Amino acid sequence: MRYLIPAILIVTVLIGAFRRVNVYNSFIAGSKSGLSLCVTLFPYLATMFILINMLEESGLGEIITNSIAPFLKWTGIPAELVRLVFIRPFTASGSLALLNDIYTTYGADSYIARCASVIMGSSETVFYLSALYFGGGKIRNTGKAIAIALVTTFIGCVLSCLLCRFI
Amino acid sequence: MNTIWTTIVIVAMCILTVLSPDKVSDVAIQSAQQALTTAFSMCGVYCLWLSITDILGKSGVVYVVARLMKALTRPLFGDLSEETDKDISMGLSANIIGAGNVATPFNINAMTALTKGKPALTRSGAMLFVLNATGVQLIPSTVVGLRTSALSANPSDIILPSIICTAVTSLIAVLGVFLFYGRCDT
Repeated sequence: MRYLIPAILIVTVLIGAFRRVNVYNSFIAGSKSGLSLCVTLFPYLATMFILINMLEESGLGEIITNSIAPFLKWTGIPAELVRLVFIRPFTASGSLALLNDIYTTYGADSYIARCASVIMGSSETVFYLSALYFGGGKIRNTGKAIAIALVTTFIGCVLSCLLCRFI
Repeated sequence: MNTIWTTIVIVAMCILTVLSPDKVSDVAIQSAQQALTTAFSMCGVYCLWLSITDILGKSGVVYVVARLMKALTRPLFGDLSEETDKDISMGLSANIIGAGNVATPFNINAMTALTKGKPALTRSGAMLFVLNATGVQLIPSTVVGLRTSALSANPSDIILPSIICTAVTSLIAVLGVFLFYGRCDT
């Protein structure tokens, strides 16, 4: 697995050289579009981070987490993981930090930690990605697609906890 | 998005004003700085992979990838223009090998093309987003790495449930798009 990315890079440059592509110019063009992509994405990222940090700093996130915990227990998601389920759609780095906390608190091989791992491994940062994808394309009426993704993610979380009981 | 964002931020700002008034503007200012750091840290990934794509495009390799992925992209997205088909195939391939960051520039390109001149999100655009937002990644390498460093006895025993879970959620996501957006773009 470690050699996959380097291999792809070397093979690509070799193929390019072999097919007489101007590799130097390709890197100039690629870097140019890379930078402009970052500039296009920046305002959407900034707005998303305001939301995430406001939730975190004000304690509103915690209030929401605590109030939905009893309902989630009913679906089989342990109370210890509600915070992770809630924060996962917003931020990858935040939820990874939380996952690490869970490992230290409950041990990496506990049921809680295994559930948390599968939840992390099988889901994505829905809100963050929506800012990236729909920001770059400047698109309206995205509510339905985001809702489908969120509901699916939630089903995935319930399924993760269920699977960890057997596997 | 506007409604959700505004509601949450207003409520959070009010709470924060009561708790610690100095923090309200600090949080907003730091968020923008954090966004800049994130954007610039992704800049490296984007520059490298857009360069690689440029080479792949000019040497004709993308057409091969697109043809290989046809079995997957055709039933999901229907008829695509050659350019978009290339972007989507590259994005999906990058995701499958676990390089989510690499997939982003391809998917954004495809998304821009799919919704160009349209007043709202199209079915293929929704499919692209939902597929990527529910995770098409096969091996959760980051999580396995983190478990290894947390001294797990068997760090990779979460791979199988993760794959099953991803397969099921991808299926649900695709069904959801078919259900709410219909079979084809009209």
